[in-house]
Parts: sequence; C-alpha cells; structure tokens
Amino acid sequence: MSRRATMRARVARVENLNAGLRHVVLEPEEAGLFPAASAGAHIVLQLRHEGRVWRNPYSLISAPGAREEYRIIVRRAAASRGGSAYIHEHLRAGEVFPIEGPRNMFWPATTARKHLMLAGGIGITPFLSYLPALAGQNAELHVRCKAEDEAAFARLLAAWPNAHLHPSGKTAFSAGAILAAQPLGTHLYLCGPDAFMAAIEAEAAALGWISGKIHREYFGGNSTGQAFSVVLARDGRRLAVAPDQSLLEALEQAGVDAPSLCRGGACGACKITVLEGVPDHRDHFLSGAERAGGRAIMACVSRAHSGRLVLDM
Amino acid sequence: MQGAEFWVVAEGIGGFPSAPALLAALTERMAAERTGFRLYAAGTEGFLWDVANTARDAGLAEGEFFLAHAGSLCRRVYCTHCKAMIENVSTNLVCCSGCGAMLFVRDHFSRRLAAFMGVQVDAEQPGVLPPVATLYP
Repeated sequence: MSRRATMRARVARVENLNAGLRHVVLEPEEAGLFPAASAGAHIVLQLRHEGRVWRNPYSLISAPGAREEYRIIVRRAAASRGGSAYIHEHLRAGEVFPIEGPRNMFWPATTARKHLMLAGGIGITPFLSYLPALAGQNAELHVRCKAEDEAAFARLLAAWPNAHLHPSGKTAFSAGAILAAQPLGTHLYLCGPDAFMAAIEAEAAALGWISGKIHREYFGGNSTGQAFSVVLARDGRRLAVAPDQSLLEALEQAGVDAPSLCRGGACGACKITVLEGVPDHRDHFLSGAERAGGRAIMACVSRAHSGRLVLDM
Repeated sequence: MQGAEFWVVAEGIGGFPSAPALLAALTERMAAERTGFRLYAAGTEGFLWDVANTARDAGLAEGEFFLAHAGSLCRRVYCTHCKAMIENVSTNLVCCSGCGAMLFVRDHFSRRLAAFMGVQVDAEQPGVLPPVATLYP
C-alpha cells in the first residue's frame, strides 16, 4: 500500500438518484485541485468501517479535465463485499478518506471514425465522461437498463441526443442489430455486467468485429464466494479469506504489500504465483494456457476451488 | 462469419482502366460497407500498400485487410530529393523523372508512401556509377 500515491478527499455532498444509485461528489481535503482525469478514468476509494477496509474503484463521471471535484455514482450491490452498502448507508458529507488515482485503462481510441458505446446498467458511468470528451465526433451510446433506473439515467443523459436508453420490459434491445449497422472504422466500447459484455462480444465476433476495435471495462464485481485459506510460502503465514472478501483484500488486511491496480481482473498488476492448490479464475487477464496451468492467480477477483492455496509471496 | 468481402486483384483486371480508378471505386464501396467487412488484395508491392492506405483511410485496421504479393517484383521508387514517384523500376539504378538525378534503389520501403526510397547514387563523385543490373524483374 505504501507504494501507491494517495490523496485525501472530502465528501462535498451525496445525493440519491433513486433507491439503488447514489451520486457522490468529492473535493480535495486541502485547498487546491485534483489532478485532471481523462475520459474513462477511475479512482479507488479507500473506505474503513468497523474494522473492514474497502478499496473500491469507481469510474469518474465528471467531465474530463474537471479538477475542482470528482463525481462518481455508486450502485448498491445486493450481495457483495459491502463497500457499496457502506456508501449508501453511512457515507455523509464532510467525511474524509484517501483516494487513489485517477487512472485510466479505458480510454477512447484516437483512430476511431465512430465511437459506439454499449452500457449495461451502472456500466453507464465511464461513458458519462466519454460523452463530453467525444462531443463533435461521431459517437453513439446505448444503455440497457432496468425499468427502475430509467428515470435517473434519463436525467443523466438529458443533454445528449446521441445517447439512447433501452429499459428492459419496455423496449426490445438488440445489440446485434446495432453492431451490424456500424460503418467501417467504428470502435466498440463495452461496460456492464460480465454476462452482458460476454453476450455482446459473442455477437460482435460473429459479425466479424476484430478484437482490436473492442474495448472493455469490467466491474470485477464477482470476487466473493466460499471461504478459503492461503499460505504465504516465503514466511509461512496463513491467512483466511472470508466469503465476502477478496483475496487481495485479505492480503491487504494482513498488512501484505500486494501489488494491485484496477481491482477488476483486467490489468494484470496483482498476478501472484500459485505453488499449491487450484485457483478459481474470475479475471479477464490470464490466457487460456495460464488458466489451465493453474500456476498464477489474479488476487483482486479470483478465489480457490481448493480449500487452500499456497502463494509464492 | 457474416459480412461482406471485397477482392482487389492486380491492376487492370475487373474492368478498371487504372489502379487509381480501382482505388477510387474501393473508397466509394467502403463508405457504404459495415463493420465485419474484409478486404483482400493481390498485386505488386506499391499497389498493395496503396490498397492498405486506402483501407486505413476508410477505417479498416490490421486484421480487416489482407495483402498478398503477386506478379512482378518491379518497384515504385520515391525520389528522396524531389519527391517524385517513378513507377515500374526493375533496375538497381533509375534516372528520376522529376529532377533527373541518377537514383540508387534502396531496399528501404515506406508503407506510408507505398514506395522504395531512391537516393542519388553519384552525389559524392558525380558521374561515377556502379554497373546497372536488372534486380527486380
């Protein structure tokens, strides 16, 4: 943790967009400005509550370059590690905590002739910074959302005639029809639940989209499951990973300076060598061969099929 | 895989009077195409990279167009002094059609210019030329 640059942010205000979505506005604790962020960037909030520590990444929805405040939207996750529940139930204006970043692993392609953005639910968030960045360019956003989020999302998108909402139950949504209608030079950006993204990627591949024109931002929301234990081979320490805790969080809680960056299984920074045990791979980084080999694990999202993993650290 | 394909075979085939006419038709066609389109081209080196640049201008990327050399090894030469293009060069030396310099045809190929580099061969000792040989039949 020591190696990561953090700064302290204060909650300027919170606002519930609806029962499940909370808009959080952060400002620098001290006088001054935040670093400028680019379209698609995220920050990591370091939150503490009753002995738990969360380090959750959230896409910035503020306009690229905005430095006086950072804005995020947090969906309350039903069954998760608890960070979003904390933000919904306890976070108040005036609270101060460290944030990391901004970082960006989901930037718009400069060579694109057209930008096609497809979002599932809260996957709308990175595109709220794309829209102003791509103003004047050929860009189009489609958001598939639950009916209960339609009103809140419609308000967020009110200024953007190139953004289209597709509430489930009210409208049919055919990603295939949208993908099949795109001119040459279109780049596709995806953010949403894993199943949403996997289904669209499959349709895109069938239509002949090349992977180099598909850009993905993952939530990494699937890092909970059965409890297991890890042994750190170099000093013999044994740690328990709770059902509602990721392996990375368990390492950090124990004071291990484990590397990490995106915390969503995409960037590869938190890769650890596995000496014994069977990993339950949930990342989007390792190759098929690496997964099958079972000798590496991405600590931020992946867990264990065996009750115990021995890690080379 | 669904999606259209467009085959570009060597110049002059398929009713096009010239390579530029073919490339103009290709540009028009690609403006109406949709993602999933694949482009295949066969021909001489310069022609292939003219196709590649036309494809890139239309938004195609590596993996969406495929090039195969066929036919003559003759080179398109770019005069690095006056920027003239000299077509169908089969020899190691060529007289520039733009500035008249005697150029040595290098192996250095520019994908952007779709041409091999030609540099003045007798710049240091005017009039002293190596033997001329047909290297690119």
